[in-house]
Amino acid sequence: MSGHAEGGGRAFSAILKEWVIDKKVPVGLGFSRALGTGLLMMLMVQAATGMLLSLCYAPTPDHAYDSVRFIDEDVVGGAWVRGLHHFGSSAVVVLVVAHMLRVFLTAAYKRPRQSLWLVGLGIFLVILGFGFTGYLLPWDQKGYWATDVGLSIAETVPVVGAFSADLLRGGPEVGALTLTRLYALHVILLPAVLAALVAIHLFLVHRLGITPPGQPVGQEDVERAPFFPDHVLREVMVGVGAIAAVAVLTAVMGGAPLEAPASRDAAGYDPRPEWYFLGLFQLLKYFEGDALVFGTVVLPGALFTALVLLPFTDRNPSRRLGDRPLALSSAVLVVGGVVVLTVLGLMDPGSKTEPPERVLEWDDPYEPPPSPPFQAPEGLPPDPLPPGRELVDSYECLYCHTLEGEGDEMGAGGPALEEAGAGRSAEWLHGLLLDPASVHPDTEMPSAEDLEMTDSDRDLIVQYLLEIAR
Amino acid sequence: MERRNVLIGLIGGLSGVVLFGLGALGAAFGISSSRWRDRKARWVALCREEEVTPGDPVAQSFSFRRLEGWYWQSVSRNVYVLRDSAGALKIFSRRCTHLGCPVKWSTKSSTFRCPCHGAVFARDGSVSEGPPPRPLDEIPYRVIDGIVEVEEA
Ligand code: FES
Repeated sequence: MSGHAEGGGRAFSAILKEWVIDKKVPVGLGFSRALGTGLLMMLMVQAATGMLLSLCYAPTPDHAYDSVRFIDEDVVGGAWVRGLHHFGSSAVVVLVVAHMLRVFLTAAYKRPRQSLWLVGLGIFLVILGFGFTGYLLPWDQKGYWATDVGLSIAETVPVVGAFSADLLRGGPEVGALTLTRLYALHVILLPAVLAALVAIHLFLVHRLGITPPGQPVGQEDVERAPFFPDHVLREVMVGVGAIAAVAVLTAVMGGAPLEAPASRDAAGYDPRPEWYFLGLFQLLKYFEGDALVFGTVVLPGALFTALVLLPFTDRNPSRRLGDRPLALSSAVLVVGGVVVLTVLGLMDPGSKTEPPERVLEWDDPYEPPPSPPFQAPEGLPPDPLPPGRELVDSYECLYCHTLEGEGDEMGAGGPALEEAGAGRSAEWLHGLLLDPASVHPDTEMPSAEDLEMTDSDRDLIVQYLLEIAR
Repeated sequence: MERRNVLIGLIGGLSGVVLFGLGALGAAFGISSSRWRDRKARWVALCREEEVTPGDPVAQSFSFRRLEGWYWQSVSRNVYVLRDSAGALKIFSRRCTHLGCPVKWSTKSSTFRCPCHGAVFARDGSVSEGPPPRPLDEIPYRVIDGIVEVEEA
């Protein structure tokens, strides 16, 4: 036992030594080389706040909104947790894009780090997936309608589009099944994929080392300095800086926004996606009719394919920006295009003429529903039940058993009474009632004597069980 | 060495602040979301006073709605209503004070019996046999216009 613990401790400190303490990195690294770890720290905050939110969130249309309101209004720190998670998603997108830009500008994707770039692109996609799947969860107007539009965009993909949109949506319209699906993706599938990709990414960074600044491809043999503590501090500063910025944003905005509850018949509601999807959203306005597929599939698809192929098509051995006019100008073009589209999208007043007011008159969840007025039992007696059925009530069989699917209030898991007599004889049932333990040694079921059941009652119950047996 | 220690201190301090902040937030969140919102208990009608005779206890139940987080849960409770030897009305919860099985009045022996582990309670709720640690729980009530009311709980 102690040997194991010691071994584990030694293994841990060996890993810590190799990966952090004794690690050497090229000299001359700045803060731009700390974005990846900053992103990782921000992702950990997302995991922590997301975990907390899931303690109080119900992914069903009838409770999602109320549970989010409960988090915002009733749980101490709830508005903070949801705010950090909401604005944290923006910080994650900012950091991942900044990190990718840095890798592009320093040509770090070139040999021998092509695999790192590809895994990184995978992480980028997963992060966008988190943004898309998380938006619907509060089940308010903006989440509902942005998801509706987003899935319609997916529908325009030729051949597989309609099918995959239905699969994600769980039907032809955004509803209960969309919510459970996107929730499952958001909290189970995407985190698992992200964790795996991040692990591979980190392993590759460790294996391949950090790209020496300014050196041509193939020149990895450069002057090195300890990774710890100088560069680690830069990384922690970027991460903590991002977290602090998110906290300030949360405080200034007073928590994450929550619009009126989702409603299908919100005539005139102008859906807007989260800002980081706004560029794509704006792009679609320039493609009409059949040309839409250019905006939804062709252009984004071509851009992404270019990114995937980048390490293999860019054979320029230099890592200095001055030697890479083609790479630099295409980066300026793409980034400029996305920025312009996003700004246009932000400026577009849209058709939103009035603020999104509450479309549904919804009940205040904290006002208890009125209890029905007390009705003193009077008037005609209810229809008589068969005598056996009445005895089932008076001996309280249904505390542990079920009948017509109801009962077992104790949660004892007693079998359905309909099953009890199935294929049994009257004698067998009498035996069971007289001494349940003779049939089921571990049963909690009281015997006829415990229940003070008369012989005639027992007869009626056995008859009844045989009548309802199936 | 001096500078190195300052840097290490900064790393520890910055991560410590974030970890502490998140930890405190998480603790507040977890603890406060495990408490239901306090609400004034309301009275619910149970039965008519005149129905309760000095004879066998009457099995009754009442139900009410309670806010669990964001969810209005329907809860129902089973009780026995009876008159004690002095003729005063008493209400006992049917939850056995051992492990919570429902007790049942036995007319023959004039006792409450629990089907689970053989507890027997006398008509006044006291334990006469079996494992329960205390008498049956008594439920406070009030009578308004001849209707017995109990508090949601
Ligand atoms: S629960 Fe009643 S005796 Fe054990």
